[in-house]
Amino acid sequence: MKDDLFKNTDDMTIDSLAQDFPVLTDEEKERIYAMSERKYNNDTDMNADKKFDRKIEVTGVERYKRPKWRSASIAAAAALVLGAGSFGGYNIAQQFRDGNGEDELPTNVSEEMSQESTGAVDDSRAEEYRITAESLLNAYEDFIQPYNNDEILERGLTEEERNSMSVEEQDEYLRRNDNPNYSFFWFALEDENATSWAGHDRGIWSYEYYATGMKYNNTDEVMDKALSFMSQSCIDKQFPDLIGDDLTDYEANRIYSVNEAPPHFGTYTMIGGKLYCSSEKYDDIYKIPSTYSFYHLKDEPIEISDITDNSFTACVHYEFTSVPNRCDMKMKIVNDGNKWVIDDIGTTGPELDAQKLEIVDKMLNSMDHYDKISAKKANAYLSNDADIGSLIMPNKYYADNNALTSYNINGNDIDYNGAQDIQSLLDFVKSVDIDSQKSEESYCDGEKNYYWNSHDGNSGYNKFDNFVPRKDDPKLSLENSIRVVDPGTTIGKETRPMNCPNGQDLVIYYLYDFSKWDITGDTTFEGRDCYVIDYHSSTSVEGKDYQKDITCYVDKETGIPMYQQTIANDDVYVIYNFYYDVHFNEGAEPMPEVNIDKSLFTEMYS
Amino acid sequence: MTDTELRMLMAESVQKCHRAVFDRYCNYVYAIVINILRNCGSREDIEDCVSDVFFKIYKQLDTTTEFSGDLKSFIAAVARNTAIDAFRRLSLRNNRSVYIDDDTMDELRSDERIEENAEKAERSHIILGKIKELGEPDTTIIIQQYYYNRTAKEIAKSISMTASAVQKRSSRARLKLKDLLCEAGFSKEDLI
Repeated sequence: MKDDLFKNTDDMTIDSLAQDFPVLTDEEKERIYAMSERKYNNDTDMNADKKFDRKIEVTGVERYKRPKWRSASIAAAAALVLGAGSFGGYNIAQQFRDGNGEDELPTNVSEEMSQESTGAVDDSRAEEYRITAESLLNAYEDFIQPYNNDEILERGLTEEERNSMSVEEQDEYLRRNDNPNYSFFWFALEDENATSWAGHDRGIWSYEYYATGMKYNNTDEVMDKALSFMSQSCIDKQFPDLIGDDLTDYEANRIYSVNEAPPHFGTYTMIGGKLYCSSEKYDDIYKIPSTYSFYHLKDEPIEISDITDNSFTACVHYEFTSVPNRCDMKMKIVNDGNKWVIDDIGTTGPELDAQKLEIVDKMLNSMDHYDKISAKKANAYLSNDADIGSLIMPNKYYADNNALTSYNINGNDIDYNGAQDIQSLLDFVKSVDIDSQKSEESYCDGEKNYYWNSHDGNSGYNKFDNFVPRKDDPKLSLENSIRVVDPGTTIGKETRPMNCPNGQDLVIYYLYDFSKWDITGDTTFEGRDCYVIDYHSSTSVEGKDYQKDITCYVDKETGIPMYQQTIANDDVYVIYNFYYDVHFNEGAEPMPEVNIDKSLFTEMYS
Repeated sequence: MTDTELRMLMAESVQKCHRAVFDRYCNYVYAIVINILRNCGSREDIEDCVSDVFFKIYKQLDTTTEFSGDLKSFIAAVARNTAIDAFRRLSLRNNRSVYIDDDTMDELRSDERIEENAEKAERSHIILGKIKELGEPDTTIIIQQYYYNRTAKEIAKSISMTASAVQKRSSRARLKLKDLLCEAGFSKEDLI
């Protein structure tokens, strides 16, 4: 019923649902509103005078090289890439590590650029150089936008034209104007390290071609433009994958096996004589992936220093509002004999707290222990609202290196004394008899995940985590489902974020802002040495303060948040998460990657 | 929201105008987006798409506040198109072995013939009507659970019940709804 009940819901019913049954919470609304405003403010096509309240705008420098931890988690990548706009996690996370995976603080810049800015220089050339720097920065910003968004036609339709048409008119138009040139072309590499994202080394590459709106016609024009304001060495460093192979002779829309020699994928590629650009979304707007992407300048003028006849340094100040450190961008600008070009780009700023950085780094990479760890996890919710009453509803998860079993407990039928100290909660959760109290159970046999619940024999499957019923299975009812993570590929790493104890979410959503948390002590929890971390956030929203307090114990060795207590001031619950009975099996074999027979699956949209 | 209201808001403050438009239409946009992305996107994907919609609307507001008095239709069109684009992108990401062809997209648009539209509207109205017949809080529970993909815990919080009670009510409500829909001429196969 879940899938079909609201299938093909018509517009009027949607309107009715939105009006009569709104679902968004205040927190969700504010999150989405903040995301939309950030995208608006970051839109580089905007004139500066149209912006409002520039102080709240998230300005800064983003690095796009793939950090080490990103390969460990597709879910984290999703949250970061797609959710970066909302949480700013990508900004800070990207600062933690550069793309080579080696430890590198964001304060590291090219050696010759690492000297302190000398501030405004009393030199008659300073103003001239400042204008030159602004021009080059504008050229850079323009370059990383591969399309003129306003000119892009969707199969010949402008966005305005498209929006002015009814759905019926659009469909009729598209039927009459179907043109394969506007289709996606995509390629993927079949490999355990392949992510589902367009990246710089492995993963999916999808390309789009537009008859209008593209700024360049071929790869030569792309490079000519790049060389008009950057040195070759700067291009190599900032845009290492700018130009890929000509993909004309490669079969589109396919997956390359690891045994094939894949083409060299780049941001731009030629297909059939036309220039295609990787269409994967980077942050908010289509941008060429580069090491740095700069938002609009603040009102502060660019500082010029290190002036010589044929070189100078331009420092642009960016103040992050959602990340803990102030970070400035410096451009080394040189005269190549004919013109001024950007020769190097780097960032500088106060050094991040090394201990916090180490903790966060371990948390982001905590799933590296997936193959060797077994643990139990429980969630508990205690109500502070007298109208609702005190309740506890633990969920239990048992994860090991081959399987996952989880139970939802019918908490209302359990007596709990309401004590909110950690040990009481933990002792209670451990004492719950699973067999008599479980209301739902799912387990993984290493290949399939099965699901059972006690509520309703006809509706016991959960598609939220990509469970899809098997039509051909004689046991099929909706109680028995198979987990579809990525049909045709493998069950493996991509399920790990759900199954393995890890601290990524905590970092991505909260701890990326070092200014909002402190290490307040050490403790031992379930035999593990932990840091005690206290996080506090306060946000003013529409005249009311929204606060969230988190206390967590983070395992010093693995970065796993062994214990987490979350309190929100508009929340009736105090939420507890903890891991216990944590064991490591150093001799464990890596979890097998299981090929899935696609024929077993129900088409998701059939 | 009328064009005049928009003009006045924009004249007063761009931010105030954005806020007003967002507050007025966020639930509407969310309902449109989730209807398309429900089965292929995460909560974060859906929120990201909704924010994309408003970003596009804000950009449009920079150029004009003239919507012939029908800003809502414009917003609906932007929301639908943005969600379809997101569906295509997310399907590619989630299901890379399955090529998302135009047939699938047409199915998403699913407005090919007037008769089919009328049939679809009729079906939707009957189903929503039967859900409303369940009475509160069951109506809200069913809609939040099945239209908005909310968990029992989230629903419980929104209607001040326990999650366990929500699960039990949901179970009973589904059985009752099946009966109601069968009485209205739906076959069980259509719904399960």
